[in-house]
Amino acid sequence: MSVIEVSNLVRQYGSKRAVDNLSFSVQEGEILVIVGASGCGKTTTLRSIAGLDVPTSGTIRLDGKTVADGAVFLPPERRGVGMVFQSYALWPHKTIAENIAYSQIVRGTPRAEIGTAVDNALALVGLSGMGDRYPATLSGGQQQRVALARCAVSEPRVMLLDEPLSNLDSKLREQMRDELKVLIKKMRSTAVHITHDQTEAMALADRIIVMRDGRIEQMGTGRDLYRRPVNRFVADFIGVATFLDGQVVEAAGDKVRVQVAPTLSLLATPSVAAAGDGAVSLCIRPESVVLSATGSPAQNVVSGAIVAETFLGDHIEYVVDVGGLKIKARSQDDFTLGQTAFVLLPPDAVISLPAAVQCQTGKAA
Amino acid sequence: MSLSRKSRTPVVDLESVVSGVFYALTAVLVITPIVYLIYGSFLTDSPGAPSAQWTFANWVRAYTDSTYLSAFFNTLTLSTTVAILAMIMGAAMAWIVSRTNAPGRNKLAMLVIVPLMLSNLITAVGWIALAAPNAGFINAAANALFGIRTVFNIYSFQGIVLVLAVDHAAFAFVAFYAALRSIDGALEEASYTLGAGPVQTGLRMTLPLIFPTVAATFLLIFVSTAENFSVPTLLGSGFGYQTLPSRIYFDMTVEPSEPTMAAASGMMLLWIALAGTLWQRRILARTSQYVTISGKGSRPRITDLGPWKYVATACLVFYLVIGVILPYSALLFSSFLNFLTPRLSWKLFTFDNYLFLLRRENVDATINSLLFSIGGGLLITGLYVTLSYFIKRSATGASRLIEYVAMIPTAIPAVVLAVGILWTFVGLPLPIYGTAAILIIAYFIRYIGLGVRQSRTALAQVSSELTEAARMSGASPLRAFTDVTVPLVRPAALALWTLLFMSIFTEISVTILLYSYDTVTLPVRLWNDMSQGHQTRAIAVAVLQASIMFVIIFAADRKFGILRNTLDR
Repeated sequence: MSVIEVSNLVRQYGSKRAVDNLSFSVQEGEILVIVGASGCGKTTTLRSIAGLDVPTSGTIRLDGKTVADGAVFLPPERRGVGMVFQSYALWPHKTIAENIAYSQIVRGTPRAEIGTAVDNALALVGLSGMGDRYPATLSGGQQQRVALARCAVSEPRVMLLDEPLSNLDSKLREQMRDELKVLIKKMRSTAVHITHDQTEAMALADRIIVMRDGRIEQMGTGRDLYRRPVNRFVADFIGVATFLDGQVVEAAGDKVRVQVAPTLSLLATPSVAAAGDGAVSLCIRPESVVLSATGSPAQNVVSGAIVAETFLGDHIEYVVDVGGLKIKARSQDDFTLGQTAFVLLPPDAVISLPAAVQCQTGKAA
Repeated sequence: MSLSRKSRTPVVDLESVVSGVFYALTAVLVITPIVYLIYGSFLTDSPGAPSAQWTFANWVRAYTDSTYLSAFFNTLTLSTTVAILAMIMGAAMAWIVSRTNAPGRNKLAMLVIVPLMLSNLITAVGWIALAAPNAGFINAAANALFGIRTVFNIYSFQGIVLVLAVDHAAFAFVAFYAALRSIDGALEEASYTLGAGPVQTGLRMTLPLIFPTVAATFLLIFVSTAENFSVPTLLGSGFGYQTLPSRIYFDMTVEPSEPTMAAASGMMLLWIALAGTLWQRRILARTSQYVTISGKGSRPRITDLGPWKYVATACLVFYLVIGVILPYSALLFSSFLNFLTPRLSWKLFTFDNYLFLLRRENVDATINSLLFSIGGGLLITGLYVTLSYFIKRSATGASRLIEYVAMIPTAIPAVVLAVGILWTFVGLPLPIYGTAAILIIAYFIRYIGLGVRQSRTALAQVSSELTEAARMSGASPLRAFTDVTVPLVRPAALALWTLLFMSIFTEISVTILLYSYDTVTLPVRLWNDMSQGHQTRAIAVAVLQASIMFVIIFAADRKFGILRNTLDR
């Protein structure tokens, strides 16, 4: 059953719609990640679920119970929802133990039980024995864990996470990301996590929502979004890609032939949004491109000169100039700059998307 | 379910109603006296007087009559001299503390800021005991030892400059100390690596970097001196020296009083403050492009002074001697004398001055002073914090407007403000004039700029996420407020309360025009005793005041490190 149900959510600030008719639901035990650039409405959505923001219109249900619609508004303290804040929001005047115990004290839990609950929460995040310290004496990563423990101690049905990893340095962020996922799953909580980092979204999420301008661009698993983006915005936002603008010239079974240059056409797979005719934008992920030193031109095989390389250890990133079109490719083989290489673009991995008018072309370089 | 809706709506409304009332009251309280002041300056008699008629004569006289012009000129020269001297002293001390290896510099730094918290009226009285012609201790000693009648006469331009410059040097010290400490040492090191010597680096790198601080400090000391009423009046009236505040006081209190002339000449003082503010804005606009004075950076270079480091320490000690130890020791000593005289003898020693303190008028004044500064200070602290809380909570146009309104009284000299407040309440049917309420209101208006600024800094530490986190933990709005907001604001509110206590406890500029028989305060007692020639009685009052001040400073430093915080703000 769906634990969170958001339907037709609208939040208007003056003349601007921060959230524009948003609907989605989250299943029990699921981690939903909302990803988008700053100002896309993801924070407002999260705060609406928390009860920290009053929606202009729309309905929010938690466990089937309406907590916000035109007539009803349940304040945050009565929603039984836990939240981890971007700034961690640890109370500087309370010790770690007091921070964690607060929700239990407010709810009137017996003293003995609070002690055990705090110890368990501290153990859960690997901070046993740190209860007497104050937040200011902890490192960023440790503060992050305390914030998690504070949220976890009341075993909320729903956990809301507002970019909790964005203040950590990259190494710690990766580590905490994995710990976070294990923790949420261990608690069997339903979680909504928001972030602007697509890698974080893919690593954490059971399901991802990509938001822009208050609307959902696409909703699906990380695999769906990466391999079958519905439009160029999503394809560009999730992962790296080369985009080639072209014109559909014929349909060939479940594929389409797209003219991308006067002398070059490619077979491509139309996306779920069915970009089967007219002006399209082809999306090619660099790792699906196959580079080889020898070969001959054939269907979806083109030749070009290596014009840039970046050695990254486990692989090398190249840019191949194919008659003026710059195609990003990833390979473990060595090529030298200026060398001619043959580029295989597997038709299954060339996705034809509706042409996005507002995006500039030739973004590949 | 609809219950929760009902319970929510009134809360939102209540808050906007309360904040609206707060805003309106603040605006009325701040703006009305100013309107009255401008209005009164165009009248022949006080606003409300039956004979009052429209006139330009006050304005014409203020800018043509030699009395007012010379007062204006005196204000300018005194303020400039004091600001320059105070800055030289403050900058030298700040350099010694932050950039040299002078021994004991960090401990002395804490003491150097003590004059900031003392009253310059009391210090001036101490200096009268030290350097009154013939009778002052220094002059008496010089006469006895070298046969010089008077080496230094405190009743002189130099005397006024000495008291005010030494007092403001502590302020300049804090400003320069903060600026010098926050310049990234790497910037200066870069200059050294490019071949510039210490002097060139100082002139071409350090000085331009702290120039905004220099300008702001100059302006603040200038305005503070220009509006100082007590010191120039106390030390200057004997030799016919008047600044604008002393002239305004004269016009208000000496019969036949000319209150509307006071208003018109008070506006002259306002131009000075206004011009200064505009000038400072221009400098800030020009220099905001190079924001190099940031929080972090490498450690500033410490200059090894060699044997001169003891001289540097001696400079700091000398400042303490001049600024605190000498005048306050002289106060204490002379409070046991019958009268000030060059010929000391055992017969002169007495406890009469202290017995005099036990008289009813002095006991009442002590009670009033403590009541206004402790009780009134607490009330005003609460009002400032609440006002700032509302300003922070809502980002409406009204909030921004009220922030500006709160800054206005800072630019208005206290004596002038007192005239405006007087006229506002004297005509009001409410029985406020002559009561403690008018003084509390006046203090609220006078310190509102400082108070709102300070409490905003305090509230800035309470991010909304902290209270939201409490709500998410199950706390009601009220519970979140008491469990999170209140404890977090408390230390800063306490510090503000202390600051207001010290300001109100020594306040004379507005009190002197607004007190009545029932609301006499200690500074007023001191002032009246001095004016009536009861110097040693006044000195005993000063000792009482100073003792209370020192106890409070000591306690506040033990409790929440007020000295350290002032230095490291």
